[in-house]
Amino acid sequence: MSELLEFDDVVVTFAASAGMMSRLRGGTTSFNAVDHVNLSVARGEILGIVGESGSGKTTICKAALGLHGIAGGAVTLDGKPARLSDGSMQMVFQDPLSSLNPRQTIAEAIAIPLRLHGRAGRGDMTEAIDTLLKDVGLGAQFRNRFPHELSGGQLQRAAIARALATNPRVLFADEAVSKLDVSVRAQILNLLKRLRDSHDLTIVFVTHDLHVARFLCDRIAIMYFGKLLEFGPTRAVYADPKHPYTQELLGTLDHERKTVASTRDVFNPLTDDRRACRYLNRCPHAMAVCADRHPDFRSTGPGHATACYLYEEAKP
Amino acid sequence: MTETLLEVNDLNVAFRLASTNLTVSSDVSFSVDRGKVLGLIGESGSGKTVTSKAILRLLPKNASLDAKAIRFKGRDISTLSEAEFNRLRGTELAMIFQDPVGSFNPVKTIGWHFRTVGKLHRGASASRSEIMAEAKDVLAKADIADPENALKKYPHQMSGGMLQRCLIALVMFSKPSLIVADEPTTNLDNLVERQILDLFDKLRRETDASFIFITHDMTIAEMISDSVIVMYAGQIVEQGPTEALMRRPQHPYTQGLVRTARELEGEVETLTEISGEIGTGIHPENRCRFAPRCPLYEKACDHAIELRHVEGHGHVRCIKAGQAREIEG
Amino acid sequence: MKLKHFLHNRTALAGLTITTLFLLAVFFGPMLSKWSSNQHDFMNALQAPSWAHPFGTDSLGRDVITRVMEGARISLLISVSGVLAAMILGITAGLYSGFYGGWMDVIVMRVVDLLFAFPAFVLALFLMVALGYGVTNVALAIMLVYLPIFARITRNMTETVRNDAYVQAAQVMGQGTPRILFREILPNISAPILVQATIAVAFGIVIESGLSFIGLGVQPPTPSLGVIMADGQEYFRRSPWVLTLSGLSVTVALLGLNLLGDGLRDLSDPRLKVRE
Repeated sequence: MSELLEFDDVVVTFAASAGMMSRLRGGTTSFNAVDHVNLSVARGEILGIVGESGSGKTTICKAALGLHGIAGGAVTLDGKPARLSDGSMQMVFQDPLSSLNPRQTIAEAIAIPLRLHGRAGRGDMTEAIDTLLKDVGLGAQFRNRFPHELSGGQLQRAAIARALATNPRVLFADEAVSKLDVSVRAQILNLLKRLRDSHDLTIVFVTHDLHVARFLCDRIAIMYFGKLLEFGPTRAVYADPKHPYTQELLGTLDHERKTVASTRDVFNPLTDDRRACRYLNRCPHAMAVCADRHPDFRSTGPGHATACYLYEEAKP
Repeated sequence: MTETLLEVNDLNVAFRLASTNLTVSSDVSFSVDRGKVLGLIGESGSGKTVTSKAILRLLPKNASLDAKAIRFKGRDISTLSEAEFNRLRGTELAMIFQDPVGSFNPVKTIGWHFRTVGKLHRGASASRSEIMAEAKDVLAKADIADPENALKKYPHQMSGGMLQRCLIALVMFSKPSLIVADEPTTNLDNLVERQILDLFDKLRRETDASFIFITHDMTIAEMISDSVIVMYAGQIVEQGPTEALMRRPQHPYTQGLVRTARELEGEVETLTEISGEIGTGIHPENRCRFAPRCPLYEKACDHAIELRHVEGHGHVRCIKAGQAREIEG
Repeated sequence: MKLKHFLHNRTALAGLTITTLFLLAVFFGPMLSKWSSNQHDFMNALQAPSWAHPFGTDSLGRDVITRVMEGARISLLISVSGVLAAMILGITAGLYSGFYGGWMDVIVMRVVDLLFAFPAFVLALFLMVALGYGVTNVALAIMLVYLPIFARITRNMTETVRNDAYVQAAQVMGQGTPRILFREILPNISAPILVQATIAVAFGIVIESGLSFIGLGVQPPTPSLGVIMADGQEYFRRSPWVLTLSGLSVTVALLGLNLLGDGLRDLSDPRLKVRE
């Protein structure tokens, strides 16, 4: 499969708004929200980026879309640097209500990108809008409605229609169903799968919901405080997670509660050692080498790689 | 010996708006036994939050609630004066909200909150050192690593998960008999959520407190509750013991929710959808409110549907109740 | 903001009524009056109000109400031009600095702070002394007084919506920054700006009147509220009407515009937004 989207050693830096006291205590004022991440997305696949808050999963998407500056490395589409102005990459946001301009009708919201990228002119605008609405399962009656008149699911469909208006190759979805009612999530998830096929899309789906990730994504990448820890085919990773963090995460799905949640601290980006393995604090298998240097990726299966010293060194 | 702690009979909640009275929750009856957890499941517009706030009298001024009775430990608390009810709230009744930030005074330390609650419970003359000692103890039980330090911190200096744990510690400190938790883990990461749920369990085991746990997550409800109420559009559509309800849900809405949860836990190509979405208008009185979305809808559903008892299961608001098979999982 | 809501809000309605009447008076009044604002009639100087002269006459026998109406129009036009200029420059500066932040924001906001440091009238006076008297310079002074206010309001509001998802969506689809600022952001932050605009026009009239009163603004015999009040002040002992009634006109204008502004502010309160 051809690699469509590449994250090549991407670094995104945040300046921490830490107060004086933590600075005096020896912490630093900036940290890498995305810390040297290498990841490639194959054409036509749905890749899930899974992590908790602070993992950098949202930041890396924003960086790819130009909403945040990249301090190191590059994001390329088809080998060339990705450019915002050609609409080749689009995004669907977590809160559908705030992702639509409250003063624009749905038709206006969709018309803007159509016009901007020359995909429809005055003559065929209505038809183009109606086609997009139909693609996402909305009837023509939604054209002249305002965002506050729509329900959550309808809003997200409208937002997807707007994203499709530029005929993007890659669609980023940041927690696209998290704010929707549970009974509506299935509709949107099914829709995304259908659109991947009908519109030849590649989807990068960011979430912390492990069930949703398993249903929707072909491959999955686990991030933790800026570092990529494990990636591979979804089925393989869920069946046999290699990285201790992935194991801990997937352990929360265990309803019999055989595993007890650890209460040790998570990584503190301002004070903890950044050269060491990021998961050092919480890892039940921590060894001496883990404190020296964050591990490189090792192959742990077909298409499956893990950054952990527990596994034999073998370039993936 | 199971003792009924809370009994609610025929609760109705309405809001007085500019031109009309909007009923947001109607005909709600349930009971919670000592030491048991009642899961209250619903999505937006279900009336779940409004119902629980009504019991704790936390509704805004333009809300009106009427009930045949709300009995707590045998006493009808719906007739108590404001002063009497205030004494009950905070000592016997507690509420944990989705966002812990709102429960703390942003310009006061965590320690201040414990001292204030402590004085409230033990009288103004209570010894400060005793209160602080107990506070540290309960914070440690809530898995706060450094209780001494935590007491000196302000709410904004803590992460969401840590603050939620402090709130639970504060609740543990007050030793209420009934705790209403409204989606307490919805905003939290998976790992923190698991910790908080473990903590709730600990709380229940140690204090024998009863819980009303409001959530939209079937999986969590199944995991922690003894009995469950499912609400839709302001009405109870199904209620009964958790295991029976989850294994063999009778109402099409519950079936849809359980099916989605099972499918997401398993491996399917396409998820079964519950079509449509809850409407935003006023709900019709004389037909099933779930009808527009119901795969089993027929003409016979066009009248006000009562809750009917299903043997060995509970109550279901559907004319097809008692006919559904087990959900394949 | 829907019209029906607007009409139900008593403050806004009162404000709109007074302002409308005021506007009608100043734009159509002089035409309907049988006197001209410059018509001298020494025989009837400093007369008390009567049927022929509802506001009386001034020291040169001119009909005061006609002069007041025309003067009010002139004061209003000066104020409006100054405020409009302040809005155009201030809103643009606010949008860009709120959106980009960084050094642009720092520079713009320090300039704004500098202008804020001076009380409005002192600032206006300073400009008049520097540039000389005259109508254009009064408008310029009003612009200088209100530019920082519009810049700051716009910049603060822009900062709050700047990270809203719909703004990010506009960026992602490739919209240019000017388009995002003026077509996506500005319509959503316009409510407080409009409220401020009504208040600004009201006090712009006060500034103009003050400057004209001390002779630095509109020059007699062209009437403006300040000029009329200056004249009325001189002859206050003999006939208090001129000063009192022209001063009262300023008050009425201010009241109308302020109530309108208050009403608009009440209406833009998101708590009052009712779902359709």
